[in-house]
Amino acid sequence: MKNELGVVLGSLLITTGALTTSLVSIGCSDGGESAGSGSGSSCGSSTCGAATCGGCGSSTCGGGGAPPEHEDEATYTAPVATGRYVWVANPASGRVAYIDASTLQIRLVEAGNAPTYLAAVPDETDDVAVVLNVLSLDATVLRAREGTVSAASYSVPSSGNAWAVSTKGRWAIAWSDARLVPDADPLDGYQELTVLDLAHEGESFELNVGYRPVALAFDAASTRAFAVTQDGISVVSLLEPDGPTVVKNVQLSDDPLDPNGTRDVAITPDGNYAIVRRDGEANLSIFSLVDASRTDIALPADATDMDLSADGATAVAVLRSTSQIALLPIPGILHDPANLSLIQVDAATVGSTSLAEKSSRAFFYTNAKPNPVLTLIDIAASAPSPSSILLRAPVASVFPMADAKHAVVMHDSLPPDPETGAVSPYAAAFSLVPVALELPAKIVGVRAPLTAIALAPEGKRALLATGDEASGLFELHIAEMPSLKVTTLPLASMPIATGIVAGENRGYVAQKHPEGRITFVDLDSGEARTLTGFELAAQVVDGSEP
Amino acid sequence: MRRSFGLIVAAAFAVEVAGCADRDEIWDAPVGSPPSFELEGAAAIVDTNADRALLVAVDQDLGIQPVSVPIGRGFRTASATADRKRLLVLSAGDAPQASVLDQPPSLTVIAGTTSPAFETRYTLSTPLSGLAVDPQGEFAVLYANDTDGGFVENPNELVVVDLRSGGARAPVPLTLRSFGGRPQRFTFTPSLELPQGSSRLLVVETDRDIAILDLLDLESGDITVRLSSTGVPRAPAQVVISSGDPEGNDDARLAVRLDGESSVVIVDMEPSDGSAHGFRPTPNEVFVGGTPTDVGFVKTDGGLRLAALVPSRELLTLIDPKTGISSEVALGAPFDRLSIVTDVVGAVNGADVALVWSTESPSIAFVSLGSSVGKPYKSVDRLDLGAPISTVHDVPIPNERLKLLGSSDGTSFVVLDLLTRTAAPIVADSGTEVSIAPSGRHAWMVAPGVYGVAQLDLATLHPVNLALQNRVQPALDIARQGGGRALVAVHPVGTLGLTILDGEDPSLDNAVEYAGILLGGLR
Repeated sequence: MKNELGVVLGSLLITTGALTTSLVSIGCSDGGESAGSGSGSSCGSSTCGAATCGGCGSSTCGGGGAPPEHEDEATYTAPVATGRYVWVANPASGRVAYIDASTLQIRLVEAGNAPTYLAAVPDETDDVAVVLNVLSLDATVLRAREGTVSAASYSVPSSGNAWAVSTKGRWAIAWSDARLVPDADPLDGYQELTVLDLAHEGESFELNVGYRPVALAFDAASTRAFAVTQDGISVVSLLEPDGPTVVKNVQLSDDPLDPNGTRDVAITPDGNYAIVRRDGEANLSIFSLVDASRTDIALPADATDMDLSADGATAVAVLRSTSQIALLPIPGILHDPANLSLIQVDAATVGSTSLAEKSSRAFFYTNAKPNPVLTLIDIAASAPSPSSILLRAPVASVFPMADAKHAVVMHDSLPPDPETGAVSPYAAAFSLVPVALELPAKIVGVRAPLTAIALAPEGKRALLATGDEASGLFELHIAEMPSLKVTTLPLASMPIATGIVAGENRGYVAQKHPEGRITFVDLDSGEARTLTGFELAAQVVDGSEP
Repeated sequence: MRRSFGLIVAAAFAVEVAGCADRDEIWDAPVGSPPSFELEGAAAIVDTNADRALLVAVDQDLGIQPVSVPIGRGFRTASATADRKRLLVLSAGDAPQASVLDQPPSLTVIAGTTSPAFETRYTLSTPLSGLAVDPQGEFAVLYANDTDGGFVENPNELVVVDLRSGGARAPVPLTLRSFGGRPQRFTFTPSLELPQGSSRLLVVETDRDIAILDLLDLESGDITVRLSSTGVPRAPAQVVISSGDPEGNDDARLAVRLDGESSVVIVDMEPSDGSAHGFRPTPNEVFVGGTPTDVGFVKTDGGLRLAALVPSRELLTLIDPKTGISSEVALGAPFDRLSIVTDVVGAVNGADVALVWSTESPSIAFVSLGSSVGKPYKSVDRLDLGAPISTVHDVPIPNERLKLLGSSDGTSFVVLDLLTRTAAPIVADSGTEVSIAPSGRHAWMVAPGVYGVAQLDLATLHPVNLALQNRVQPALDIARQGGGRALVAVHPVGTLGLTILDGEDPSLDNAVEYAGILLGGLR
């Protein structure tokens, strides 16, 4: 699991909070780890071309051994929920609908021309969202206060298709993720980005960074921003007298001709270090983002995944070929590169990791080959020792609750029984794993593939949406912890994203529909209500009203 | 059978007196088959050539007491109120209006008692051809239909007539706010408990949205509920109303079935301080699993649901209007129409019983909407019939337990007993049309090629075929002066003939035949 500040970059989309997800495949660029065989396979496939995979190095795709790990949880898109409202943009009408998650009342506010990309903006008092208007090349910052919404416009000459927003909501950066552009031309570098100073209405700054950024992040103090690109990490100083300025580019490869040497990049919350994992290399590189110095940390084998703890104090690398886990203290490892903890996992194969937001409990598994074992380690323990849980289907991905007392584990569909040829009626499954109490996991078969998941921040509810347009089966599964009760509700159409409006204790699942459709679920009572036609309610014209 | 030529003689006299020098053209105008209406105590025949309505009451001897009521020139349409106490006749007046002597457009109200009489006339400023009458008889709406077309026309202009005032209140013209549509259909709600008190609403379906008017507060204007936000119009096909809990004032709602779409828009009437109406319609679209052909609000033991028949999937979909969550009832046949019959058969654990039928499949089913374990319904009881059903007639007390179902070709009928769930077949000549006597004891049947009328006793199902001198179109069952009932069989021949029969015990022995009806009363 990735968090905002201790973010692992390079091959994934950042979430602005771990609450909303949409399981969207974006080719190999979402693969957080590789086989690491070092066999020298090239990125020759159409879905894994060097031009489209920011972190897809020359040795990262395919591989001569096991197939690459894939990291589904890395494909989350940002939620568009703030404390009380869910925001939905309609590019066709130029409006943004905001739904009060308490009353479920829908209102509309005018944005610019083709409002398309939304992001939530943290704010201490108001509900704030920013939307990128792709045809008018501007952004509208929408601020809801006491039931009314004000709009402020900012020029965004670079346009874009993604947002990065600083923790305290002072800065928002509109940028272009080339991986989301179909058939992007190699001559399109998508190097322009626009920094919005939300503390000063209308102030925006266009900057240029390295070739094809794949992720943006801020330091905790919101003084610097970092753009991970195929040219390295472009460092933006946000508080320069003349406005935000690109002050440095930290190259991540010793080979100046390496076109895209990154794979996983993690930046510490303080913005001082970037930790880089490359496929097929038995080391991690730690770069100082202050002076661009580099320290290589040797590992016993290739790292197939790397993640950074929420506090940034520990980098976790997974070495599948030796079934080892390496824990690297940050920044202590810089002073003593040999001071890493190596934990041997004998009971299972591990190749991927998922870390919890508010717990030192880490989860390990592999999805490169069918493997039903989930391994846990407390990375803060003085002598971490692994424990393993046998699940009833191969693990596809793992979503720990924030407190890591429970985890939701996704399973793909099972292959036909090799002996009987029997085919499972289920398209996928998920398991609810009561980690803290060490109780047996509960597995739930679902009739359609999982499309989206959301976890309540208190760790007591999970929403899992499933859908298959061919069969017309669309469902929302509400999992309750610690009881492991699962309630299934039918949905009217294909779920595309789900999330939590924490301030109102409601979950939601957005669905495909030309008029807009969203189902809200009360996380306590389980009562659901589906709203369809966001703009219909707002288009009611009352002749008695002025 | 007695035959009376009195009217013919009188008419001949009138011709003698008025005709030689300057004979009015109405004497030569073809009569055809004039519009006729069954009123409470009179048969009403609109004599469009003479700009009048002829109200025919019947006395104890089956003699007729015709009354001629002028309706103004330029007849456009007429309609009886649901209780058959009044006939509303809409006329365009003289067009164009060139002088003060020209007749203006008007709506004439005629009392349809056993002593029929002119009641009132509303003068209109615009000639309109559309007339929608409130089922409760309190209001009428006049509107421009597709055949209207003056030099300048506003298709969204309506005229609301308050019939309760007896003519004391002038018709209220108003123009609906339009987003490109024009009115198509009108639904008058029953009295609804709304946040600002009880009221009745008029729901106007256009070809792309609906408009809501408060009939008791027309000055507050209309509320437009658009049905599409994508720019592609979506046409309403049906509007149904739920009054909600009588104790509450915030749960009235309506549902709009969309033409050719698998969604229904449920419109809640939520309290609103910012509106003079006191409520704000809040539309929410719900998916019903396929294109529905009929919808209706029903009570289940889980609460109120919107029921939608989806024949393409042989389903009845039940949608919780509060949550939008749906459940499906497999029906096993492509039923496309539904009717709630709980009033007759009684609720099952507080849940409605629906009768569903099909214009495509020869079967009907009773769906008990109380739930059983794991299912949103208690039972589906199917009955196979001989032919698909196209018409369903309710039967008043004392035979309200019956429904008369008819096939599309009019050759087969079924008398369905809702309590015993029996279906008795009745066969008839092709094209037979049926009407139910207001007494609830009989059904009357006529057919285009049949010189006569048949009475079907709904208690015994015994048919009585009565041969008459001419074909009948239609047969009107009215109250007789002094008590009893009469059947007025209208013969669309010549200047119109009538045969009057005893409505309860019809017999040719005492029937009276009248000819030249439309010649009576002319000057």
